[in-house]
This record gives sequence, structure tokens and C-alpha cells, in this order.
Amino acid sequence: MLRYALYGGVVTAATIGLPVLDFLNCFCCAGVILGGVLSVFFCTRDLGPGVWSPTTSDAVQLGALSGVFGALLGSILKVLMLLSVGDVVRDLISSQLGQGGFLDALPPELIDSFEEMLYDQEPLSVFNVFALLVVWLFVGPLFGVLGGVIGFALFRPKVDPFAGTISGTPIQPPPNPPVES
Amino acid sequence: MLTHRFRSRKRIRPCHSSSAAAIVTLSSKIPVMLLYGAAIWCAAILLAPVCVAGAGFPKVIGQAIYFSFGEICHQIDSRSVYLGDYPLAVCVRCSAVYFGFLLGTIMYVALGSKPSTRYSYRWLVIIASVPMLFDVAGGTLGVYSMTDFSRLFTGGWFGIIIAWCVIPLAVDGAGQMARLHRFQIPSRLRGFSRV
Repeated sequence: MLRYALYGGVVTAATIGLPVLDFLNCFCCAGVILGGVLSVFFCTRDLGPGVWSPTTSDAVQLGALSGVFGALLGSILKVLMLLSVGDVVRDLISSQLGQGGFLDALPPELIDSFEEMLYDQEPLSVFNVFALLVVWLFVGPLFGVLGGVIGFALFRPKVDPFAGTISGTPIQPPPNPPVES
Repeated sequence: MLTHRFRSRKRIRPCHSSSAAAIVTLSSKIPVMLLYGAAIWCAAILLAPVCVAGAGFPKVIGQAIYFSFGEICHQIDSRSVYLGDYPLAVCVRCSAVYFGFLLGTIMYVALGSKPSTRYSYRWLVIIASVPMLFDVAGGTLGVYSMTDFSRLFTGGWFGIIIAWCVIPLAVDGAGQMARLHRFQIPSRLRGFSRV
């Protein structure tokens, strides 16, 4: 389980920490949800319906773990990127705007939005890094679980998920406790 | 995987009926717990502009909410709904998704729905996502200009429909986890199902 959660976590971390890719999280944490979906996808693909398939609870756990891994790795990656190369996207947009580059071909409303979004960012500080980690450790597992559940809905084998386990071993109702006389 | 390893290494002992009752109770509480969670989330979105405006709340709470939601939304002013002089903590589309999810959860709880096999969850996800994906793709590529109405409609549609997919699967997942780990509900959560 940890391996597949780590795969999803790496995808999540990339969408948190890497420039350009982090725009994905502007759409209701789509990057984190994608990480959860992919962790379930990798799991079902590798283990296959003939061998074993995840249950709903496994999908929930996969999503949550991918969110935790993604939050930790992504926060570290984001800080490292900002410290090493700075805000490359802001620099790129600043250099491209008004020079007839690819950005000028975009709708004007979108360019205004880009400018507004990029120039409002706060500089990096120790408090911001800590706050970033706390926020992502809360948001990551939350949206990761959502991604895991959506991934399960998309990639699960076509059997009744409420009939017990997908591996074909229905969960038996527990027997009554012995009556002591 | 956990479930697999658990079964292969350890023989599951039959649990007592009190544990089984706890599992059933936990599963039945999941929709209400999600409803409370979604309500708190949406309340935080509304609270941010109220706090920053200084309407009886500390300003720092509003700033903290804006900062937190800033990680998961672009918060562009021109694409936000305003409450008084300040925008909500997230943009129009995100607000629509979250409030749509809250509405979907309320509907699910109010109708007393149960997990069902009558509809495909895969198709539910696709039906929920396609309008929003078209809206985002069409607007970004310049095929047509997105309006606040289109953002509101497609986001709300996604939120409402996805709630009907997420809640039953979460109920099922919680039930399975409780069975495996013999989860006991803390006494303080026992009255959770009463709305």
C-alpha cells in the first residue's frame, strides 16, 4: 500500500512544489485529487482484478496516505524551488508580457488574472514555510481521500462494492455472542 | 495492501455483536459527519471577509483563512464573489463546488439515502466533471468567454453530483475499515446522527 500511496504522493508533491504544475491546485486542489486518483489507478493496474483489487477502505487509505506524502514532499520541494531558482514563473511572465510572446496570444482577461495572482504573492519566511506545511498537512489528506474515492469509483472492477470485499470473500455478519447461563 | 495482509497474516476473530452494532452506527454517522465538515468548510469561506471587515471578529483569523485557502485557489479578485467590501476566501467556481457539495450532502442526509448499486459511480463522476472540464477548457483556449454564471453552474453541478458519489463510498469505506480494525466509536460521538 505504501508504495502506491508514494506514487500518488509524488504526483501530488509535484503539483504542490513545482512551478507551472502548481496551477493545477488552483482548481479546487485538482493536483491533490489527481494524486489520490492515480494511487488507486496504479494499485488496480499492478495488482489486477485476477489477483487482488482494492476495497473502498483501501482506496480511502491510499488517498489519505498519498495526500500526507504529497503534503510533506511538496512543501519541502516548494521551499527548495523558491530558495534555489526563485519564482521562475513570475520572472517568465514578467519577461514575456508585452513582447509579442506566447502570453500575448492569450485572452486579455486571463493575462490580467495571471498578473494579479502572481504579484500578490508574499515573500518566503520561516512562518510562511511552517504555515504552508500545516495547511498542506490538513488539506492534502482531505482532498487525497476525495481523490482516492473518485479513483475507486472510476477504476474499480465491475462488482457490487457493497456486497462485501471485491476479492470475492463476502464479509460474514458476526455471530451472536454465546449466552452465559 | 492492508486488507490483504491483514487477512493473510492474521485470522480474523469473530467480533461481538456490540462491535457489529458500532460498525453499523459508524457507517450511518458518516454522512452527518461529512455534512458537519462541509458546513464548517463553507462557513470558513464566508467568515474570511467578515473577519477582515472587522465585524466583531479578530482580523488575523480572516487573514489566516485567506492564506490557507490561497494554497488551493487562485483567489483572483475579478473572479470572486464579494461579501461587503471583501471577496470570499475562494473564487466563484471553488465556492460553487464547495457549496454544491454541502447542498448535495444536505440532500443525501435529508432524503435518508443509502449506498445503492442502482447507478454507476464511474458514470456519476464523468457526468459531474464533463461540464466543468468543457467550461475550463473552452474558456482557457479562448473558444468562448467564461462567465460567472457558467462557473457557478458547472461548479455547483460538480459539487452536488460528486457528493452523491463520495458519501456512499465513504460510508462503505468506513464500514470496511471499522470491521478490519474493530473500531469503537467514542462515547462523545454517539449522538452524531441526530441533525
